[in-house]
Amino acid sequence: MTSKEALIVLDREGRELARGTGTQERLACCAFATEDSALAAGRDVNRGPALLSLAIA
Amino acid sequence: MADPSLAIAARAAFTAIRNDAPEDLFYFFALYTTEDGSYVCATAWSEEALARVVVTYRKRDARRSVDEHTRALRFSAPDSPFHETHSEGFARFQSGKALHDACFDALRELERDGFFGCGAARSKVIVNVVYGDMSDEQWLEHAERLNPRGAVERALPYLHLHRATGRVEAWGAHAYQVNGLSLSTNHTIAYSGSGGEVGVLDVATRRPIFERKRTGEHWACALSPDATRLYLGDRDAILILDPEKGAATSFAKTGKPATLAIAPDGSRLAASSFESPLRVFDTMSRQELWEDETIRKASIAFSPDGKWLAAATLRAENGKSIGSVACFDAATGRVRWSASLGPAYTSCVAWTPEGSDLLVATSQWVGRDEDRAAPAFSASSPPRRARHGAFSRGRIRSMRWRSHRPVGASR
Repeated sequence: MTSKEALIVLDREGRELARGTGTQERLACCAFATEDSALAAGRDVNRGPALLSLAIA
Repeated sequence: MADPSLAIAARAAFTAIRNDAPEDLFYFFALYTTEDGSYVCATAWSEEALARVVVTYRKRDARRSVDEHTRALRFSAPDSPFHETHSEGFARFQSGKALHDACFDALRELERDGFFGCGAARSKVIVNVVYGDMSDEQWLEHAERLNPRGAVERALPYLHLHRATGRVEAWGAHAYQVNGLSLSTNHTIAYSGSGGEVGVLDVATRRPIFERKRTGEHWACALSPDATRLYLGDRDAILILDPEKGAATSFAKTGKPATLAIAPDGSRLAASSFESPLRVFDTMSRQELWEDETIRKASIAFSPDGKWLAAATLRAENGKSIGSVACFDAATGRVRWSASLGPAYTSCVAWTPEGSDLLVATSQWVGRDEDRAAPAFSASSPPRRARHGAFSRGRIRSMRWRSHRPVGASR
């Protein structure tokens, strides 16, 4: 899930597996694109790139 | 040598501002412009003016403390009573990038003349070139070009700087602003942005199949399961874009879509618009199958078997924002069940991979960042609620479940 600036990955029991922030001032959406990471996108303060990935432990 | 006339105009404006409040302690002087130098005006803040404005804002919004208002307003140019005052002298300058760059030269010239003070007094003043829409990082970069270190350090506590944390890396996209993401079953991801940003990338290689800044407002996108069609929300329509050819055609006329969702088999497309009803289309015939007048700007998701469409939305009720969620028969639009979510400022939905449960996240505005736990709903009727223990973690904007079969594992 994304909150305003953080991308957070939880397991089924709600335990946090990974959390990270990029240089986005606002995250709008997320997706599981690869086996070991999650993607999120939003508005990057440094003018890009908009997509960040978070490695899942 | 820079044209001195802008410095003369700036000096005149700032001097007049000081004369308006001769007893005030001014801590901020700036030239307010745009990135392309469309115009320039003067802006400034004094400690006394800030205190007065904070009192006014606190009356309007008592949920924020005095300290929170002070932090938010300290360098907010348009909120200052001195903003855009005595700026008549700037009207004669020609718009353009040269004008933008000249703002820095003008402030440096005033600095050389000691206009902003010297020594300890100078460190209490921050001088800058600011825009209406700029990040704190950019604000800091400008400030570092125009101020001694001591002045910059005094401003740092008021800035919200974005630093990468955790095991995060910049993944890609030749865009800096994205509002929608959509993933196909064949390892392709699409993004779209309200500024016309569109991209379709191969996940494994990160190679763009299509990437362009278009002229539309693409708040939402949905990629067909085989990634051959990208449905794009636009100002008053849904477009279909062929990522390989780059050609876009009209799919349906509708209000500006805020969110799009495509059924797992690609047979149906749902569109929730900012100001129009929720609509579901047959993707082959392009015919509208059904609509629901009550749903606006919703988070929407088809169940994994495609039978159900969940929609979570917000509505104003007695001055409060109230959330609700409904589960529709995707083929007919019949409401299977609906439920109130209570006060909420955001809401979003995600089905579990087996489709047995729908998770609904909401958040409440209770002060600054506080949120409330979201319930989890079963897809069965009537809905049963069970609290998911991990949802009180910031205002949730979007949610996705990972399928049992990891995407990309077979590549």
